Amino acid sequence: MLSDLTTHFIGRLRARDPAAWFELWENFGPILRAQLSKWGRGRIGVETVQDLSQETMAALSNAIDRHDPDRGARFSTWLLAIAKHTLGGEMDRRMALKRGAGKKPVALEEGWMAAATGVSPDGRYERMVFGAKVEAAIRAVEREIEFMDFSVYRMRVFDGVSGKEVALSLGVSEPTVSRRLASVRKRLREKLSEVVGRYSFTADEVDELERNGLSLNPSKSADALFDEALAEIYHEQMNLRQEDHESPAD
Amino acid sequence: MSGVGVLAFPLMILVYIAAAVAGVWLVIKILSGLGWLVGALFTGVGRVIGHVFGFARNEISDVVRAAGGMLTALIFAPLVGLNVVIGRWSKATHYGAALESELATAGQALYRAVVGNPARLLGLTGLTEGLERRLPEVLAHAPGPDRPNRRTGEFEGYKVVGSLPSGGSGARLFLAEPGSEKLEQFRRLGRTSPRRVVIKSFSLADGSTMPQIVRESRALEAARQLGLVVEHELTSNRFHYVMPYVPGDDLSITTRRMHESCGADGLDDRRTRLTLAYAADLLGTLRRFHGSGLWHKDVKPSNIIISDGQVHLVDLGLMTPLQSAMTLTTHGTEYFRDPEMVRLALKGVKVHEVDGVKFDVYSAGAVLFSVLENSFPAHGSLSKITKRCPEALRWIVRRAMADMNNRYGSSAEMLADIEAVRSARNPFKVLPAELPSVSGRPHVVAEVEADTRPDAEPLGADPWEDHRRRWGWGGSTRRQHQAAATKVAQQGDKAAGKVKRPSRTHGALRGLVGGAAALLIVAVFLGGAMRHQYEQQNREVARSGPRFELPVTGHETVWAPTPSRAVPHARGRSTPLPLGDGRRVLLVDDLSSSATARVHGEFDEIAGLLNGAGFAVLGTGDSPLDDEQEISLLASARSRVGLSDPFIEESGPPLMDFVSEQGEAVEALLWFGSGPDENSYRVRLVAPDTETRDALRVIVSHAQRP
Repeated sequence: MLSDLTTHFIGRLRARDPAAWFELWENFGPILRAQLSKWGRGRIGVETVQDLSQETMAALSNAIDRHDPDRGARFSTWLLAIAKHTLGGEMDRRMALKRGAGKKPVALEEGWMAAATGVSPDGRYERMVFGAKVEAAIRAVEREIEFMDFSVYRMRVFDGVSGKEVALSLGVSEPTVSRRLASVRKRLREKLSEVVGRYSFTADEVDELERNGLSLNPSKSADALFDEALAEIYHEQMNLRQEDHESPAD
Repeated sequence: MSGVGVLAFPLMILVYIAAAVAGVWLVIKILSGLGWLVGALFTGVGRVIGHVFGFARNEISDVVRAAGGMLTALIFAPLVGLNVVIGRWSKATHYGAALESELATAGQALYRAVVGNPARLLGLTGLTEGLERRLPEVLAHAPGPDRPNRRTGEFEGYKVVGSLPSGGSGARLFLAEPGSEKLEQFRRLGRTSPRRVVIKSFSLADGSTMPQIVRESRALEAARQLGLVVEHELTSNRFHYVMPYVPGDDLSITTRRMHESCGADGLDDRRTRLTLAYAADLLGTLRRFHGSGLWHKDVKPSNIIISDGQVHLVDLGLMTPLQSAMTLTTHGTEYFRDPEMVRLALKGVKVHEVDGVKFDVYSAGAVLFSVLENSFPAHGSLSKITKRCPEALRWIVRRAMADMNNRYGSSAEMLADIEAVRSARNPFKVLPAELPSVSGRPHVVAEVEADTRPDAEPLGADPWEDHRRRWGWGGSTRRQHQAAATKVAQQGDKAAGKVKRPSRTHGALRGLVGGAAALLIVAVFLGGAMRHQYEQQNREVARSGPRFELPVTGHETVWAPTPSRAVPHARGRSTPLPLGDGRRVLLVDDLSSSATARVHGEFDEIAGLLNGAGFAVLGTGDSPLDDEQEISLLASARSRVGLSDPFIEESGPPLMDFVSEQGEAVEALLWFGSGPDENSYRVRLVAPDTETRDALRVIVSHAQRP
């Protein structure tokens, strides 16, 4: 059973709300691209993938109606199924263009879809999708709060700078650093709950937060663990994406 | 004895139990190990079988595809021939393109079947990587034909000497040299007269489209006024515009080289300085764009050319007037384009409804990130800077890439922060709190000059002392920053392995040393006994160059003071000026007659200081040359910039050429021009030799009045 947040979001996607599509692509597009590149195993070039990404978002909207999330699939699987379906359609469209209209579209290697058939998303992909949800929540908080507040949290938690040094570096007092940390942490918890709720189709996906140490209930001991877990996921997400960029075709 | 026997029995029992548990544990471990081995073996075999099956499937798929491609090509081939014979050129071209495409598809499939798939099967992907990735990339970026085709014709007044890679704009790029008549025409119009130009040509016959032409043409007039475009023309069959040619490598290549020289940890001090200089240059250029109402819209490393150490922003393909009524498009380059722009474009907003300046600022931040990291910001504003980088610079990058509401409001604001880091003796000791955008205190660009003076305090001194003195910090904030600076300095010293523990007698000792030094200086000045030593030391200071390394620009506008931007000045300090050693400096006086007496007075003072320092000053009437020689030199210098503004970037290279060609006859040039009002003026400093340039900069700075 989908949550209200998810149902509302899917509704927006089906209503062709460009903001919803943009949000989806901004948060998960890079992961899909990396995954599809890997599946292509050198058959689909980096430039082709990037070129596809410009149009994929619009093309995705035509595919969403055909995929019913109520069948019990995970959000991550659903996402990848749509992307594969869409890219397959996009490839057909391009081939038709290439043959019919006398235009010269970007070369699209055809063999990669065959290579991708039957391949299911692995644990790494699942991890990246969860990381992307967390990243989306962090990004949303960064957009909504003061730059200085977010910088305090970023330096203290993500960069691992001590509270005293953060205070010295930014010209504020240590109690101010503590207050700002608490305020940002509160916003992060709210946003994590919202974002993960929106992008989850199964209870198992919603539980991923707690399983990864991101307790949504504030307490002194939980706060430290929360920060630690969030920093770990943030760094892991950065590294995973970096690795994908370095070896897009594996 | 019986007591021992009583104890021994349970002990024995315990030993047996322990041995039994250990035995069971061992058996379980061995079994689980065996299980793991068997599992791994099956997994491995499964993978190998999967790999082989995958290979077979790919082979079949590729062979069929190759056959299909060739079959289709065989159908197209006679159609092409037939249409050529009956003279239907459009149809022949259409079928020819389809034939080419089919052959390419068949060729690729054949290659995969014969080379690619077997190589992947054997794990030899590295062998084919060059063929599959690098070769297509190089071929795709190869320049086009060296001549425009007959249908579009030659470019009148230009001799085409080559071509450049086209990029994705749908245009062809030709390298050309303007003829003498064209150059004369430019001079008459007061435009830049470059020796070589790039002609960007759009022709429907060459495959360009009308939207591309419209997009490229919308900001051309403004670009021409900025000196970015020399001329443009629209005819019935072609649209083209002419830009000065900037030779050099783009920033992505420069970045790669810098990182290759520095290793995996990141940029060293010198390259960090260089990065700051590039960033300042880029932001200065963007400031000019924005000041002229233009939005570049495609700021990225490959559009930034480093030529003679200076940054040139090229590719005007997406340049848009900030007040344009057109609908915002998503054009731009991923990772260097603000995602927010895409979101707004999807909403269908108009260009004038968004703040294009902030999008360029985002791109500048992303460019700076890419130089520091030798990578691109895959996570936008959340991207992590992992390599060596001053904390304040990290802050600047993050601020530039932050959400629209939190971002720098203008390129000038970001530039001020960059200059604050750049002008510090040690950028690694600058704290974010010290940046003008954080502290709220303005940064004066000319402070760079003050820091380069030979009498500046030695490295290792409290880096914030100057700032505190300048801005009059006090109270708790002052103490806090002192503590911060001390802490950072200590950390730096610790890293360098030279920790000095503070002692209670330190202050007294420093006072004694200071007093002794003062007495020594008094003795030197009074007695004159150490005059020779002073001059020698002074010469060494001048020769040792600047305290930090600026890019070898060779030419720069050093000073543009206005009353509101007056800088604090250390007049009265015993400033040891660098020595001229008879080097010849040509002064070009273009000051307006309406300039105030103060401005003229400072010009005279600079000339006097140069004379006093031992430079041979030309162009002021006191020169060793006769009038005729001097007039000839001045005319020659002026002819290099024609009627163009000598202070714009494009005038730098010709003036550099002029000085270089003169050899020892003229080793540097100082061009004085009026500023925006009668109380201000500008100085363009041109000197190929770093030592001369730095010495002149010090002297010009010395003459500044608060």
